[in-house]
Amino acid sequence: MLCDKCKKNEATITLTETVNGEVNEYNLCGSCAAETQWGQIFEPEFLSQILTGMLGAAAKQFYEPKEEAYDKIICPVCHTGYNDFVKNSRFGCPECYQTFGILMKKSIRDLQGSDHHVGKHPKYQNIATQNMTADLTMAPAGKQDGNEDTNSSVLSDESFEFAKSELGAEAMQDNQESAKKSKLKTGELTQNEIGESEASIKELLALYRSRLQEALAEEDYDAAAYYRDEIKKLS
Amino acid sequence: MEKWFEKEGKDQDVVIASRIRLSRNIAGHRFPCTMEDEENEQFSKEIIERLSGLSTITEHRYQNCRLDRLSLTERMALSERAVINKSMALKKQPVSAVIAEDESIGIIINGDDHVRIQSSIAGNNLSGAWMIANRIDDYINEKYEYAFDEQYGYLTTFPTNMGTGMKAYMILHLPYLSAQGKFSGLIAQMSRFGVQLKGVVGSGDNNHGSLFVAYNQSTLGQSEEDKIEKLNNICGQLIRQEQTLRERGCTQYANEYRDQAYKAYGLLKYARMLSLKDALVHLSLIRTAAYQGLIEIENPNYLYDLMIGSLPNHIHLLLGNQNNMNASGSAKELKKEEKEAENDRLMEMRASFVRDHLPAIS
Repeated sequence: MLCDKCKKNEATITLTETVNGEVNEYNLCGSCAAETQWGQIFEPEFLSQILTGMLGAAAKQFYEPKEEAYDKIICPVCHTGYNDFVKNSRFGCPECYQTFGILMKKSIRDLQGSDHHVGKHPKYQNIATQNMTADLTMAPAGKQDGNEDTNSSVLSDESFEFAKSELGAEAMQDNQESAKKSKLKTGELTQNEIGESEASIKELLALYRSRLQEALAEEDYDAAAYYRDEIKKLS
Repeated sequence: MEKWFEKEGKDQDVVIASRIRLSRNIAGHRFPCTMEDEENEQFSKEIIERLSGLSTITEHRYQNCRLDRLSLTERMALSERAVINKSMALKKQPVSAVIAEDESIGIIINGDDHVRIQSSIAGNNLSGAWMIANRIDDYINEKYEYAFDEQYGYLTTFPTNMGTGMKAYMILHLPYLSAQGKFSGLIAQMSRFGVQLKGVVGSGDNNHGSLFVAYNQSTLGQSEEDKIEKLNNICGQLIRQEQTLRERGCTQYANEYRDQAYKAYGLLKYARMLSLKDALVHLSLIRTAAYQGLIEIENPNYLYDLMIGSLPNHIHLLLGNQNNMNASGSAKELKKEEKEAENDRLMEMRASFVRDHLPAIS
């Protein structure tokens, strides 16, 4: 269907407007929709707030206990705060992995389906720094040109304790998880599976949701709008 | 200079290209997002200088460029060709790139990560692309120690890249398979196995030209070789299914498909105005028919080149427009009449570009 306004592009957005009980429906393309007074809902700022909201919500779900304590965690090397880390979903320097990694353990596994690297190791590494140890009580490896005071880490003793106990519980889960995984691995994708059986709506929804997130992260708002609509249709 | 995608490889009828991307950071330095501009600039310069011997290991000639000094249109065109990704095209901080003359290898410096190695190869050949990327990776590692952790592997700016730091991509042309009703279910099933499939040009029905890219979603917990094998396995099934559908269609309806392809050829050869959709849909038809032997075209793989060349920023560059976008990478706001006039100019330029470059029927 062509856009009602420019009649040139394919319409991707359906606008339903109710004025004094009268319902009008418009089919618009992305660029014409952006020009309308409703166009602001496609503005980048608005969408990036949603994304942040989602990540924040995810973070709350994972770190509900002692949430305020995490606000104060700041990477000693690059000064990225925990809130910035959640907001931008990115690490500021290698040291951030030590600072936030332990808090992220569960979400890393949710995100990656694993929490341990397998595969290539750098061939030409200095042995002394190869094991950036996971031992939390040790000071960060002092290879950041020594310009940062490593004792300035804001991790309180309290959160150390929490982190440690979480580590123990998770380690047990790990073993069970990996046992499950090795079973899964043997189930190869067969021609039949991929061609014949229909994927459930639930699966599609999950897929579209992850696509929506991805599109938002890439600031691809046309795609984001598309997946948002698909999700609406399905749910 | 012939671009890498003008060569022919295995399963070229369905697989346009295989691509490997590695994200790496150098130990002892902050990631680019927290670097001061000055530090960033100095560090980029140093990396580029130390990588000057790159041509000795890959037998390519390289060009250095400062991406942030190109116009936004030029950068977006590079991202349309997938030499760089969109977030780097839009980045305002200094970003440098070392790009091979045929664009098969691109190293982005201080983009999202300190180093992003990308290697592309025509046809179905992920292992080949991995071999090249791996070699470059070792070369850089000889000069610099990487930020690496036993548990989290290669440390990257985004948690979505940690571990191997590797994304493997296969660019597929699936005109028959994507027209099947079960296609969306198939995409969902692939995602269950950790392989994502999405349109190159747009989402859903807007992905004109039926170009898709398949890639591994996660980067942690499986070796590079395992990931590549899995992607090969799953894409292999897509490729076989597409080939079977084409085979069946082209035997049963050979005359209809031949006619369709010649009509498409005529349209592209003589049209004076081409929308993006028109260009992509018809180029896709001809490409498919050419590989099925229904229409004899010299170098049918070149049609992919034309599809990419028809994308908006490539056409803007041909028109000499350097400022068609605002900083967020979306089209600048124009008055209605201006917009229509601009759109017409684009369509005319696209038609003339396709006309001039359409390979001859032999």
